[in-house]
Formats: sequence, C-alpha cells, structure tokens
Amino acid sequence: MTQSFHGDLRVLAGATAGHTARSVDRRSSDPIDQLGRRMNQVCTQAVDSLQIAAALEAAGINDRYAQQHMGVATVFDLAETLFQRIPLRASGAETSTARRDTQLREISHGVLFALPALFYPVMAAQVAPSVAAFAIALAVIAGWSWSQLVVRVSYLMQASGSASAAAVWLRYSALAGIGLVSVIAALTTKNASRPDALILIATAQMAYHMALTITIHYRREGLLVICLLPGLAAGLLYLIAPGLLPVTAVSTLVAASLIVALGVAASLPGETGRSARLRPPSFKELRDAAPFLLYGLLCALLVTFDSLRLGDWIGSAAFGLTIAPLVLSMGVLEWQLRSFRERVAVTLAQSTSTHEMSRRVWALFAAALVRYALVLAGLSAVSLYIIQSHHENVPFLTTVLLANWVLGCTFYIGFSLISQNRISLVTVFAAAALLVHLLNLPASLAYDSLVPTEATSYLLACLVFAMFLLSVARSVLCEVRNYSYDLQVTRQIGTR
Amino acid sequence: MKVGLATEGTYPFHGGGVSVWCDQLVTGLHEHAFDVMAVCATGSEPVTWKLPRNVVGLHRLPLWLPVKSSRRGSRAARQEFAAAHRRFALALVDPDEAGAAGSFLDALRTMFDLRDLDLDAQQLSNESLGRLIDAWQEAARRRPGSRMQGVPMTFADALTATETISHFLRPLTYVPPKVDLVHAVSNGLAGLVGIVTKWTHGVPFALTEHGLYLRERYLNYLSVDESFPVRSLIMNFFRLLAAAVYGTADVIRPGSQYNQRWELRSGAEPERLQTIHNGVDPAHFTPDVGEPSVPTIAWLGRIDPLKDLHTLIHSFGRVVEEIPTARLRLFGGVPAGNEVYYRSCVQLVRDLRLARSVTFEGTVDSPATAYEAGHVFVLSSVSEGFPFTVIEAMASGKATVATDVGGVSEAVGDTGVIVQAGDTAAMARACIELLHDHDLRRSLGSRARSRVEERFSLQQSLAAYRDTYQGLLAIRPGRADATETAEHEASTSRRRVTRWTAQDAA
Repeated sequence: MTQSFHGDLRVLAGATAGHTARSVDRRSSDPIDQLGRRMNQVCTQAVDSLQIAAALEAAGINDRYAQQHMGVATVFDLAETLFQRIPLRASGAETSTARRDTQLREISHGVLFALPALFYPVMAAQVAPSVAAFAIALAVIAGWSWSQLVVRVSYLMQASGSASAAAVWLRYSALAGIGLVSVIAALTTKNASRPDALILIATAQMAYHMALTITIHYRREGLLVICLLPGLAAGLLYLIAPGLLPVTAVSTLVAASLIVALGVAASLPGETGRSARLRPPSFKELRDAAPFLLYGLLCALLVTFDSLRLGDWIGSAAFGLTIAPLVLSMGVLEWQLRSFRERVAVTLAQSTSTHEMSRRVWALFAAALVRYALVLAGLSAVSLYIIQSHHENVPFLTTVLLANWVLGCTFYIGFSLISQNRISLVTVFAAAALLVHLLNLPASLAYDSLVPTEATSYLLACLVFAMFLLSVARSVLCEVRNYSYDLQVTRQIGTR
Repeated sequence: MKVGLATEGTYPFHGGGVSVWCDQLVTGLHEHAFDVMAVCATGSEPVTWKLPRNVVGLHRLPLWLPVKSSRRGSRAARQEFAAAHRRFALALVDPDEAGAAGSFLDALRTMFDLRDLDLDAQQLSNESLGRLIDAWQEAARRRPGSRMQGVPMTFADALTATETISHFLRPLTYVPPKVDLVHAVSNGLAGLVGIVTKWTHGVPFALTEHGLYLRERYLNYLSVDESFPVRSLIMNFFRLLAAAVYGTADVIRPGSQYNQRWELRSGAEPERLQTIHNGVDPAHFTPDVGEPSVPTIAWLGRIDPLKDLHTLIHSFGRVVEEIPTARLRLFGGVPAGNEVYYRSCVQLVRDLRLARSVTFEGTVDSPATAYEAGHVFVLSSVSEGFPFTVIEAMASGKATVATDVGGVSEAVGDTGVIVQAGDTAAMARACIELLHDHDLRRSLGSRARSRVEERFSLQQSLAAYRDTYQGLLAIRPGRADATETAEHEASTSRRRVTRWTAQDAA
C-alpha cells in the first residue's frame, strides 16, 4: 500500500533484474558495475545513497537479491557502493530569455495606447475644444484606473484556479466600466453645449481602452487592430485631408469600428467564459486590487490635471506632442521591464554571493532604465523639433515634454517596484507627487520665468515622484524572493 | 478519549489503501472521538469518504495557499530566528554531519516558538538565502570529493528550494485542536502535524507508517527537473523531517516488518517500534463461491506504474502460450495523471495480440467481485507496503502469485508463490502451475484464508491500536507544567487560527 507516487518510473527503465541483455558488452562484468550501467540515470542524479536504495527497491531489488546476485548484505549497502562508484552528472534548469515576437508585441502596446489620437480631430470638430478635452480627460482617468482594477482582479481569479470566472469578470467589468463612464459623463454635462457629443466621446474613448485591455490580456492585439482598421483609416484621412470625407461619415466609421472591436474583444474569452457565471470578486480580491485602482487614478490625475485646470489643453495638438513620446514609449517600457527581470533571473542562476548579486541586479536595472530613457529621449526630441517648428509657446511645451520624460523614467521605476509587490508604497509616492502638483509650489515662489508655473509645478511633481521611488529602489529590487516567477518563466530544462 | 488523526493527501479526500485503513480505524474504534487534521493542497478538496459520527471535526491544513503577513516581529525575535535558521541551514546541506538531526529538530522547535513571525518572509529573505548558500559552501569545503563540491549553490537554487520548503513548514504556524493524543498516519508533513500537536498540547504522539514516506519522496524526486542543489536540499529536508518525526513519536507502528529497515536506518529507536499489520474482516469475503469456467487470473488495484502491469501482461503472454483459453481480468480505475500509463498497457495488450484474453474491467463496487472472478490472484507491483489486495484475496480463499516487495512476503507466507519483481518468466511459471494444479491451488487458497483469520483480521488490527492508545495515555509523556504552559500559549497566541477551518463532521 503506497500513499501517493507521482514520479516518473521511466528513470528506472531497464533497471530490473537485467533479463534482457542484447549485445556483447566488453565493459566490467562485475554485477554491481553492470547494475550501475543499467541504473545509470538514477545513479548519476541521486542526491544520496538512500535515493539509489529507493530506486533499487522500486525496481524490484531487495535484500535477498542483493545477497544472492551482488554479494552485499543489503540494498542499502548496494546503494552505497553504487553511489560511491558512479559520479554525479549535474543537470537541472537552464534559463533563457523570451523570443523576439514577445518583444515586438510589447513594443506595439505603446502604439496601441496612442492610436485613439487619430480619432481626436474628428471628435474635436463636433464640439467645443473644452468639451472634448473634458470628455477625453474623464475617459483617460476612468480607463486608466478601471483597467488596473479589472486586470488585477482577473489575474487574482486566474491564480485561484477560476480561469472561467476570470474570463467572465473581464468581459462584464469592461462593459460595466464603459457604462460607468457614460453615466459620469451624463451627470457632468448639465451645462455643456453638446451633452450628447461629450457622452459619446467619453464612452468611445473608454470603449477603446477596455477593448485594448482585454485584447492585451489575451495577447490578441492584432485582432483589435484589424477591427479598427476602417475607423483608423477614416481618422487618418480626416487628419491629412479634413474636407475629403464628411465629418458624419468619418464619425460613423470610427464608431462602427469601435463597436466591432469591443464586441470581438468581449467575445475573446470564448468557451472558457461562456460556460461560467459571473462571480463577483471577493472582498479579499477587491482589497488586493484596490491599490492598483488608486495608483491608476493618481497617475491619470497627475497627467491630466493641467488639462482640467487649463480647459482645452488635453485636446490640443500641442498637448498631443508633449504626451505622445510617453505614450508611444510605454511598450518599450514594458519590454525593458520584462527584459530586466529575465536578466535578473539569469543572474540569480549564476550568483553565489549576496554582494555580487546585489551589484549585478542594480547594474541591470540601471542599464534597462538608461535604455528606456534614451528611447524616450529620442521620441521626445522628435516632438521637440515639431514643437519648435510649429508652435509659439515653446518654453511651456518644452518644460512639459521634459516633465513627461522624467515621468516616463519614473513609471519605469514604479513598475519595477510594483512587480516586486510594492504597489502600496508606489501609490503613496504617486499621491505625494500629485499633492506637490496640486500645491503648485512654483506659483507661491512668485519668481519671474518664461515658463508658466503649471509646467514647472508638473516637472517638480514628476521629479519628486522619481526621487521618492529611487530612494527605495535598490533595496527593493535586490530582494531575491520576488523573482521566483521570473525564474520559473526563464527556466528551460538542460544541463548547467 | 479524543484522538487527533493527522493525514496528508489521503483521508478523507482521496481513495487508496491509507484512506481505507483510516476509515477502518475511525469506524472500528467507535468508542473514541476523532479530530481529523488533514494536510491538503488548497483546502477546497471535497470530502469523498462518509465520515462516521465519532469523527467530530475535520481541520484542513492547506499548504499552497498564499499567506500574507506583515508581522516583522521584534529585533530579538528576528535574531533568534536567524540563529535557528543557521542551525537549520547547516543541517539541511549536510544531514550526515554529526548532530545534524538534533540541530534540525531544535531549529524546528525554535521556529515553532517564533510562529508569530512571518516565517515565510524570514526564510525567503536575502539574509536567509545567503546563509543557506554559505552553509553549502562550508559543507563543500568540509567534505572534499563530495557531490556538493562540484556544484555551487546559486541564489536561484536557494530561492527555489526555500520556497518549496517554506510551504512544507506551514504546519508549524497552525494551531491544532485540543486532543488527548495525536496519531499521524504517515511520516512527513502528517508527522510534522503530530510534532506540532505534541508541542502545543503536550499529548502523546503515535506514528503509523503503511508505505514509506521518505522512500516515496526519494522516488518522486528522481524525475524532478531541478538542479542538484535544489533536489538535494528538498530531499535532505524530508530525510531530516523523517528523523525528527521518528525521534519525537512516542510509539511507531509500521504496517509491516519490512518498513522497519528504513525506519531504523532513519533514526527510529527499536524499542518504540512494533509492527501492526493491516487487517480485513474475513466475514466480508466468502471463500467457497466456486471458480470461473475458464482459467482466469485476476488483478485488482489502481492502474499505476508502481503496479508494473507491463510485467503482468508480458507474463500473461507466456501463460497464453501454455494455456490458450486463459484470461486476465484487470480490475481498477485509472487515477488522474496515469492516463498515459493506462494507454501504454492497452497498447501492450494489442502488441502482444492478447486483446481477446485481457480485459480492463474498470472500478468495481466490491473488491470481492474481483477476487471471485479469478482462479489465481496476481500482484505484480514493484513497490508496496502491506497491500490490502493481497490479504483480501487471501481472505477470499485465493492462491496468490505476488512480487517480493515491501511486506508482501510477510502477508503471503507459504500460502502463495512469491517471485522477483519484474521477473516475467517466474511470474508466468507460477501462474501456469497454479492454473494447472487444482489441488495445489485450492490447498493454498484454503491456507491463505486461515492465515488471514489467524493473523490479519481487522479485529486484531483494531485491538492492537486500542491497546496502543491505552498504553500511550498511561505513559503520557508531556510534563504537566509544560502542558499547561503550552495550552496557555495556544489560548493567548495571536496565531493564524483561521487557517484551520473546522467542520463539524457529525
């Protein structure tokens, strides 16, 4: 009566009794040597002689057999002899990094985040710029924070073994988020000139965000792009040649594409989600996901606060130019973060000293941060060139662009810390940064500057956010225990 | 008397021999109340056994649920942990070093005393992982030429092994229910629950071993794709834990004499060992129901590589060459995960052109059906403890052909034929002889039935455990003051009591 054996007895294949020797063997005819050859795989991997004894017994060799055929008293003696005679052949997990298609998918996410910009001109054409700005800001804030909650809860459900419940949750919570934004937009449009347009713009932006969240979750971003192609083409055409197509036709194409994209995204869980009922998240899951919601909300507020303060800022082309590098680089950030963690996993599989390990992990982090910062700087340089060529308020725009570069680097540090289970800490720092921005400290200094204080306040907030995160980064990032998942991901079977 | 019955991966969630035995025990000893403390994976496993009324509580101990705790503890507590972890690490990397088993048990006790700390976080800290690596390097230097010298332990190894071991140490942080004695039905994690219950309430601790927990872990880890240091640390943990359980248990009741070899080698004291064989109720098995019309060999069990059905099928191929009308009937289900092995058996039957003679019968409501279906019962396993199937077949008056593994030869004695495991020819010869020789077969079957009535009846087995319990209460090892202190600690402690989810089984 054995309790539970889940091992693979293939490692014992050929070990039993040796009744079927086939070819002439010129090696040692000593029966123990012969047995060792038959059980080579076991003997070269065994951690001690008891493991060989266990394998011998599982192969049907007992004390009587050991005495009669091997000339030793017990299986334990036989195992000890084999253990001493046969050297270890070390084997185990080997690490490798992700394939190129994973990198390309990650990099594409930045472009996907930026795609709605193609819809903004046609949206802005239908309402006053301030209305469009408010609608977009509302949707960005809601989309950023809600998607954090939705995805976190979904992961928690999956982790608890409820893949089907997670699929259903993802679908319905995404739809609920769109409904929520519509309601908030409706409640805040009492004094707007075109309340219907405001609701539509906010809802459309949120619908895109939710569709993107779901497709990224299921790694089906290509499907989203295919569904959106007609709307994207119409939006691009409107941007290049505004008079070529009527505004209503462009709007209709954009709306239709979004509806199709959302429908396809909502059906993605497929069979997994179809058979399951909606399970509301547990209190524990909500408690775990709440900091993510708050973090998304604070970051969105930090980025959009000036558009709320300055009216039509967010819908303007100038705003687009300052924020575009940050949005476009989000995919690179994702890639660099994953790459950093993979490299850490490889480092952990090589390091045998705490000091050396800490030094190498920090160097990897710094290198990845520099790589990302350079990419973001390159994109910002393009924006700066366009700003200097086409816009008047260059000092203000340049300061905001610089602030967004700092914020991008800060996001990288923040995401690194969040991946080390420090969401609460990062959220507190984000709140502090927002507070700095709200206080508009440069305004109280009353100094003369070419740059409006809103921009310097934003830059100061981003710098404060970055400094806070950097102050804890080294100690947190060198905590080995948080790389367990990365070790599993990067491991492949092979010889060390 | 209330008995805490500690199980792992068996009763009351899963089938198998140990669960059958647990059911026999709690049902048979109806004068005692049982609190079942079941180590399980997630705690959501459904109960598959009908619990009798005297099972007054079922406490689930999930190993793999995430534990979130932010308690860092005092500086002194953390320093105490660090000192204990150093002893733990040194023992773990080199269990053959003198005093390693004692250091390990001592470290376990300290961790148990410090269970208010977040033990997972403490074990997985960089300092603890570094300590483990240092201990490995020290041991490698101390033992030139050892296997560990050629393979350095990395942080990845230390993290992987420690994460696994931290789950295995979860029982240290749980509060067991108040019982009069604790009875672990296996070594390993159920044994650790036994230790914790003894430490908490100062009650006697009985250990029963049917299979050999350590031996099975060794076999499990033969095919685990981890580096040598990871496999080594985890196996050393099980080895040291086995020794700790043997050292702490007041009595050890192996299910067969055969088990004693491993137990003694692992540090069990001979005077604490006394074999209690499994028993069956002979009244449940009728020896005189006749025999099938065609020569038939019966087998009963779960379809599993350990049962070595390939050897049985190959042997049967030889039997058919001699007795073309012979049949082989295989009774038993296919556990999840063994589908590939089942398919390999079916394919082997096809390859040997035995499809008309061999049938896979699936599960049966009553095992007696399987025994009555054959002239001869065969057990072809490569690993066993003291299998119920053999003594049930014997109680049914069947002659057996069985492999010489575990306690099988103790069970069969001279009432059947014992062959070397994996020896196809010997197994075939024995089957042919018994199928041909009616008198010999019936004589062996009759003697087998008598042997079960005399030595392996359920009543005898239950009586032995009844005596064990009474004897333990008489020697009650816990000092009164220690017991009171432990109880006081347990009642005032802020431990994660919610992890034990009690369910009134009655």
